[in-house]
Amino acid sequence: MRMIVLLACCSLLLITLNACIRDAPYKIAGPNMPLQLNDGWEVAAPEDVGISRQSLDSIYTQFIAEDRFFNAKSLLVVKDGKLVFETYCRDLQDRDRYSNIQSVTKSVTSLVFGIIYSEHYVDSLSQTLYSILPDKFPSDGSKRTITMRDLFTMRSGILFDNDVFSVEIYTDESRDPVKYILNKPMYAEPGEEFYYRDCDPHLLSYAITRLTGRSEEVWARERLFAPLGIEDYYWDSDHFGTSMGAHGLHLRPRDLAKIGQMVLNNGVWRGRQIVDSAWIAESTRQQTTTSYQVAPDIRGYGYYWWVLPRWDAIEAWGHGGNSILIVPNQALVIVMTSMPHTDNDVVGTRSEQFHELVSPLIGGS
Amino acid sequence: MCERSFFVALRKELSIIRFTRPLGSRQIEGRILHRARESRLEVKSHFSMDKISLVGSEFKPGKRLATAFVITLLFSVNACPETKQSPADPARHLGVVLGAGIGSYREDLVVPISFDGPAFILGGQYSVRTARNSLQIRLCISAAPLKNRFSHEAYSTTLELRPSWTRMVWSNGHSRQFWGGIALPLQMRNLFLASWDDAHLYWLTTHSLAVVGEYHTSLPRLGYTVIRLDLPIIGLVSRPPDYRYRQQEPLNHFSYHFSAPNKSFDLKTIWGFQSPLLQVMIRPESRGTLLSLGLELALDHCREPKDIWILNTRLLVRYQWKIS
Repeated sequence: MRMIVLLACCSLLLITLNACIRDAPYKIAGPNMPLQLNDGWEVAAPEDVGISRQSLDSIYTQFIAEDRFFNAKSLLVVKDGKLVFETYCRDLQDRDRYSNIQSVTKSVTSLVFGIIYSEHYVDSLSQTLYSILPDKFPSDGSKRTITMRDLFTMRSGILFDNDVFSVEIYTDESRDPVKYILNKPMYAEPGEEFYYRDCDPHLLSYAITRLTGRSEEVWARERLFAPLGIEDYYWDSDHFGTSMGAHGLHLRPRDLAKIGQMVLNNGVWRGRQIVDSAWIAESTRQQTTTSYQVAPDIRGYGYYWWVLPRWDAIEAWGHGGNSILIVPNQALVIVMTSMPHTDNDVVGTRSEQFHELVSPLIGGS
Repeated sequence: MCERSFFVALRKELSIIRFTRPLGSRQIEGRILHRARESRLEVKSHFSMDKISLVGSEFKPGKRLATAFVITLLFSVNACPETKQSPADPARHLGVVLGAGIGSYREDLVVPISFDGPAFILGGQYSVRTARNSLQIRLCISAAPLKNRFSHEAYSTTLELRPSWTRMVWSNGHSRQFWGGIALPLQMRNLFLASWDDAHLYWLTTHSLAVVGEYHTSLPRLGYTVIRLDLPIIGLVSRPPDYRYRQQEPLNHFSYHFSAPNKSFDLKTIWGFQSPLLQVMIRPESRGTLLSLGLELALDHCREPKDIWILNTRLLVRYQWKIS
């Protein structure tokens, strides 16, 4: 009996001691009115642009709750070209720090390619990748018909799942990433079937470098970021020095909003045409159907932009909850950033959760 | 053949167990002298623990297996050939350490939410001891599956090598002693927060110099109680960089390689990291095989680049065989 009592006391002691390490609040109820800074953004009160304070308060309350949107970091709303809502729920310094935006990088790759395309480095999107990188292709001719359009619409047919892409390409440091990708088997004929993968945008980044002699990151820095006033960024590259076309770009939340506003304005920022408007129109138009066909979350795919028929909107979406949501008919841009490496099924924010959060701002079904 | 006595509490009454063990034999024979009732019981035990027989009755296998195990264990603690050993002669022991308890982790580099779960420890210990000096080397590995209040999963492993040397600095005869010394613990505490960051490993690795204090006191019927505190005062500390909250490690460098947690060491004092280890162990008096049971509490905290808190509390069993 004494032994049982002693063991029970010991167990109680252990449990009690371990309770000493307590949870701290991990979200902060910080301000949500943007400050006027000298960074190219004009700020305004929500009421001045026709957004109700009540709907923003509702969104804010959900956003800072600790049992939802676990990994969220920032939420910004731009209406009529004015920043009307801005909050940082983990650290107020996140406003001034760049963060990994994951697959939002793909949409930036699309914009960079649009700049190159308008300078006629590529004749048409029907041009084959083989015509640009012939030395990288295996002797087997099955992949030689892959076109630039196939790469943009995730229809190259190359079977290389995202679960193993980064590990095999970057961690294992394959000797030649392009050859490595092009030696993978096919899941379908080129142009046949949409399959969301990182390898297609990365092949496109290699194509940009080969076509122009400059990396995608250099093009972005000089022709996209500089006109937008984006100076503080980081872009991962592989061990060949090639910018990662699918993910790995790091931007600040306000700079993401600038990209969104520029796309909303058909490639124009503060009166300057940065990306050709024809490319913006073509790349944000649905080019292929996807596996997301359940209402209301039906999604099409443009050239590295998700197309949301529900709101006539387009979206750049990155793993975990990184988004630029653009609703042209309401002149609305919504940006969310989140911790980039969370498990999507547990902690990460899924796109449908984000859409539900902001739907009061957009309306419709 | 040796013949020794020791005290053991059986149920509520004090008993004296006397036993003999022929050298070279696996069999233990003994007698329980039941003082309270002035009766005398004979015990015969085998290492196979399949049978314990008492004079006039028999413990049946299964029904009394737990009792048989305890008695046999206690017998084996003392079941050794008596050696004529001078106090200055070193006694060497080698054995296993087993433990189970609760681990709590909070890594503020990712999120200041604690992850808790059962923690298990397994290892070995080598010790050399004379009347006034003691050298111990403990090598352990522990593992803990963890969850936070939202049931988000995480996993932790710890590798620890803890050599220490202590010397008796004060003694009140045989009943109370104070030992002091130093330890050089190397501890690699790894944390994989699978739900919150599936791309990186988090860690607190320390190579430290610790002061050690031990208080020994004899307990009637139970042997000794040893209370030991290891308090690191200076050491080399390695932590992950603080940018992972927003940025991945460069892809051509990141890996889960074993060496990764050992990079970028900083020299820190007790103000920069705290890693006290408190043990309260009960050890039956013996000069042969050593059995220790007790509690261990290990706290680890480092404030840079952001706070990490680790608390492990566990029940510990240490069983050592004399090797010379």
